[in-house]
Amino acid sequence: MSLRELSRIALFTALISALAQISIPLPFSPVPLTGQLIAVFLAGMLLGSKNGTFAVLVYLMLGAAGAPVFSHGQGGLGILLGPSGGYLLGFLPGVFICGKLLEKHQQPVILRTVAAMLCCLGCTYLAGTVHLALLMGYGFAEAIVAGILPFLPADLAKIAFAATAGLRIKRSIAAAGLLMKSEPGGG
Amino acid sequence: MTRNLTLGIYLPGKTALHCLDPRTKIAGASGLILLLILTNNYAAYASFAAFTIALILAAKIPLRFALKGLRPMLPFLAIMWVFQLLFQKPPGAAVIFSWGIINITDAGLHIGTLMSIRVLLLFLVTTILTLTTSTVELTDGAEALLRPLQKIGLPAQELALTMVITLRFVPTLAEEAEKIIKAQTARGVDFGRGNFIRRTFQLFPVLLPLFINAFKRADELITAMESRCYTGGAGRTKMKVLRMGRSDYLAWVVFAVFAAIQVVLMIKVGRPY
Repeated sequence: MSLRELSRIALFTALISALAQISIPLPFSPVPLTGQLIAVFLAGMLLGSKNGTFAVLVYLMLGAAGAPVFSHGQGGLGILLGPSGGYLLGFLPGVFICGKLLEKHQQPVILRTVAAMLCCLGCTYLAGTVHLALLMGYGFAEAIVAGILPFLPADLAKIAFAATAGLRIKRSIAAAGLLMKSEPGGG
Repeated sequence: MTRNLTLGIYLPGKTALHCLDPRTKIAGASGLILLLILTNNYAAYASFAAFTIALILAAKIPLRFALKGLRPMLPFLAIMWVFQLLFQKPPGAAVIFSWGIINITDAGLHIGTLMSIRVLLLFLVTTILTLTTSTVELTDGAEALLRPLQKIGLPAQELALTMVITLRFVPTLAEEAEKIIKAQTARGVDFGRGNFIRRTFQLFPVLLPLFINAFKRADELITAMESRCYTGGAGRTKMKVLRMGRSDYLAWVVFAVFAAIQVVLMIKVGRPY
């Protein structure tokens, strides 16, 4: 891992932690809108599969070690293993796939970006639901009702947001000459 | 984000539990979690709960700290319990309550209750770990435990360094986000108004500068580290070297005895439904 990669991973982990603290209450859902998922999408898109995965891994390790980096200033291994922990663990394969799908393209079209982020969301949901089902002894249908439906509308809005924001950020950092040689569009 | 990040939810103390090697504590907590997942009856859960309470007392953790994180989880657990009650109908289970279309089986009641106890204990055990071990200690411990994985390409040392750097930057970025929000408000962005799609997109003028600045900061960090002659993880020494002591071996004996009791309870008593 080069120093440049290391520092970017650290900054992105910090971004995920900071964005997880933003919380906007929604009128129709008990689950508030947090920026965590947006930051995870962008980590995959802007850092690529390997470094994006490391950023999420460090985030989860920090959270497990008790730093209050999860949403609402929560932290501790209990959160990671508790009812909603599966979603956090699902970020790992999610961000890897999202990065893999996007890292070959200097400026991916919006459709491809959205598709990659949907894959990431799919991984998150899959891991979250399986974890919930195993932990609570749920059946398949119950787990979907309790674990996916309440989150779906807000998460789709986050994808729309992250895709547009990601493309603009990518353009800006390319214009500012901040891309690495090894990175898509760099050099 | 006002709480001290390096401390996390750590409660400083000098009890035997605080002073154990973090590796012992991480491995011990993992072992306890494994036991908890395998536990299948009330007697074994009761003995596990007794052990957990003994740990809390030994660490001199005020009960209100240990239970603090549980409160937001309770409504969730209650809903889950009702779910189990209504929908858990394995073939051959006896119906113990029936009203209209609602049939509650004894298996549903048992599964719901056992699962809720499991989640509560799982949370307590992991909370004890993070209450008695600081984030930095846990980082050191995790690095030491992950080091064997370095051979298959997991950069354990670099990841540990990244964790520490991240801790340093979270408050900086949170502060910066706040500054940007204030600056944009002064320019007329009305945060927190309108429907939720509009609210989501109000984050746009906050996120863009935040992310682009993060890339700039990363470059500044490289310059700072290189000018201090950082050459990578290899050959770095530690100020505090982890050492296993007599209390660690004692902790392992206690854990082994407790695990044996639990396994006997699980096999002898069996599941109640």
